Amino acid sequence: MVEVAKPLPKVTEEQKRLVALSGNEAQAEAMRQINPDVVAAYPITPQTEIVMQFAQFVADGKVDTEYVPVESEHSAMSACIGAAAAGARAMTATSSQGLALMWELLYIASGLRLPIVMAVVARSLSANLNIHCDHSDVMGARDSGWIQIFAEDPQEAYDSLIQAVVIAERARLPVMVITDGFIISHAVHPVTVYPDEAVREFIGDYEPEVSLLKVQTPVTMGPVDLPDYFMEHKRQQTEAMKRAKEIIPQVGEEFANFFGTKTYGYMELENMEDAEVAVISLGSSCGTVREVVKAMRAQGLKVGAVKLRVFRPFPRDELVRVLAGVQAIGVLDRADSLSAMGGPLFTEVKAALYDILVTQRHTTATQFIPLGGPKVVNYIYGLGGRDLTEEHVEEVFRELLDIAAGKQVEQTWRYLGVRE
Amino acid sequence: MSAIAQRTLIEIRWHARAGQGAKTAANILAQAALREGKYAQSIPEFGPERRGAPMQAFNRLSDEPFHMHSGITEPDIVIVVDPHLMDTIPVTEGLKPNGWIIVNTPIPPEEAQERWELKPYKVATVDASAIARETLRQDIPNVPLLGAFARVTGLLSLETLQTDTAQRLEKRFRDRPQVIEANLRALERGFNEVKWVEAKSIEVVTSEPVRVAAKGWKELVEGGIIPEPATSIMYRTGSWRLERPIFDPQKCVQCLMCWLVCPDAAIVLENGKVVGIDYDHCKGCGLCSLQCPPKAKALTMKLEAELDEK
Repeated sequence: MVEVAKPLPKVTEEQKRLVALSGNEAQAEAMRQINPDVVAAYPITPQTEIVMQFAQFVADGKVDTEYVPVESEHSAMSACIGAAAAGARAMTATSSQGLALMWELLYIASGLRLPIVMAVVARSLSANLNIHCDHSDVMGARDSGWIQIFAEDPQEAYDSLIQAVVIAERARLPVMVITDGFIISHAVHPVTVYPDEAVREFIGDYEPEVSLLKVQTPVTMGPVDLPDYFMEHKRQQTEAMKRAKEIIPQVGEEFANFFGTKTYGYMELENMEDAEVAVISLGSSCGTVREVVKAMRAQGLKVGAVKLRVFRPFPRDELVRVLAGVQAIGVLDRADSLSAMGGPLFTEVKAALYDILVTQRHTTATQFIPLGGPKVVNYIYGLGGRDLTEEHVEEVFRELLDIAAGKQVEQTWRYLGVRE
Repeated sequence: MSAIAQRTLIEIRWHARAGQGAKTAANILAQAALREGKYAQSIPEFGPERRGAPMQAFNRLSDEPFHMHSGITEPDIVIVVDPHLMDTIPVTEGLKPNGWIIVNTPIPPEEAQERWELKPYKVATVDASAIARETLRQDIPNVPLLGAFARVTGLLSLETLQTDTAQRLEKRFRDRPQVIEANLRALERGFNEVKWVEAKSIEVVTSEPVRVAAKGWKELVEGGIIPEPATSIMYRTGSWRLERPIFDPQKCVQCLMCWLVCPDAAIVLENGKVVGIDYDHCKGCGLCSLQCPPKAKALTMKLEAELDEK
């Protein structure tokens, strides 16, 4: 048998630098290397450092970027939309109330199909005033037509932001790369940084098909769109999201081949092959969960974890393939939908499972799925920066193992780490 | 016959131009129907257009409660507030055979039935514009058409419509009772002066409505981008006009103020001089005429309806 040698990555180990960077520094570094045409941003805790450092790069002449220091996030996104419509590669960064203030513009950016890339440093939403991490801000934007990629640590934030540029331009959709406020944004981790030229080669030049500055071929963007056409354009947008599902792992693979990194996809699995119970989560908590899985596996317990990297588009089929065989699933949500039925990741996971299980039970796959499918339990954790400890995660796994062993599910969703 | 078609529900479609009071008339009609113990809806249709643009409004009437909130595609009655729309819009589209079409026009119903090929329908005509000009001193023909509607369909009584017309106008014209009086006169005259004929044939040409096939989502440019320039020229907004500016080159002093203020670039220049008006795009706003120096008076506004009569 002939072994096909995998092509060597373009960037060699010697060309890489291992440095200690916080999440914010890693994102600012990525932005410097991307060298966007326009950055319009407004500082807000805990994202401030990204904007601050990038402003320094501009002042020091390290980038060619037109930096627009706007007076609000509403204007930041507006300026990015204008710049992107004119054909520029536009980027910004924000958090919390800043993202909330951008709300109406998020839909305009995606509706006009502008490939804007934004670093979102996740933080709770007021009230009450809290500057610490949760995913309420990000989840508020989940239906705005943006691709949402969660990064577990500064390395993933750096890598994902570079990939986001390519994904956005290929999918013609805006992308937000999300890091957990303070937990990742302000914590320093080892980060492997690639040479500037390599990053620029990977992202390539941006040549939009249409733009307002191509004066030889004038176009109108954002015209009034009444009942006779509006729905066709939304249909296109949903198709673009479906296409993005192919583009995201494609770019992840290209990135791995180019820089010699791990392959980025929709999710990363920890001991899922024979897991009886599993926990699924987003962002920094995935690392904590992984450590608990390792410790419990050492005790011979069949636990596993799914780190979901891409929330929009939602990788329904891929996720179900992984989860359908387990007996109990714990969904960790760092935001509450306040719907009185659980958090946003929980409802998506349950909906995805229902769709597949019901269909499959009526076809041929019955033997793979225990009657009734896996039990799904939701744990709301870490709101407003409340710490998620390894003990919390172990408590979740123990409960899931009990459920797998036949214990009745008493509450399908509950708060984790809250004082009763 | 479908279950929907068997329902005893009366559906009405109004064709008018924004500003002619069709929405108000539809509201009065619904209110009057409620007063007579019927169940009713009045549904306006909104677009981006302004005064003068073709628009539609709808009514549903029934003795039984009903709950649908969909548009009306197969009306029992069509009311055409602006006769110009007879030639530009397929006003009879979906109209049920032997249904009513009530048109604001001085043309007698027999002639209207011939001229606009309305043989499968009962046709009623009334010169609502003339009545409106004589009673209200402006061309708002909605109220006389309500009177005509009551007379020919028998669905509502004149008295109820009088009550509701007065009530509707009460708020706005409390200090000008003469306006309310004039409207009530217009209503009564519409009721008295309407003429009608029965359907001549029950054969309806059932050909599918001719439409320009709109592109599906796969063919459209993504993001709603309009990929070519100057497409607004293709939008003939001249048909929205209620008043027409008449240009007199003998009186023009070539100050170009009209050209400067025209919101639709409808003042035509040749070698830097005003030579006329682009009636395909002039919406008849009258700004040019207002700006024309009083001593010159080279631009005067004339009612389209009066120009037609000549």
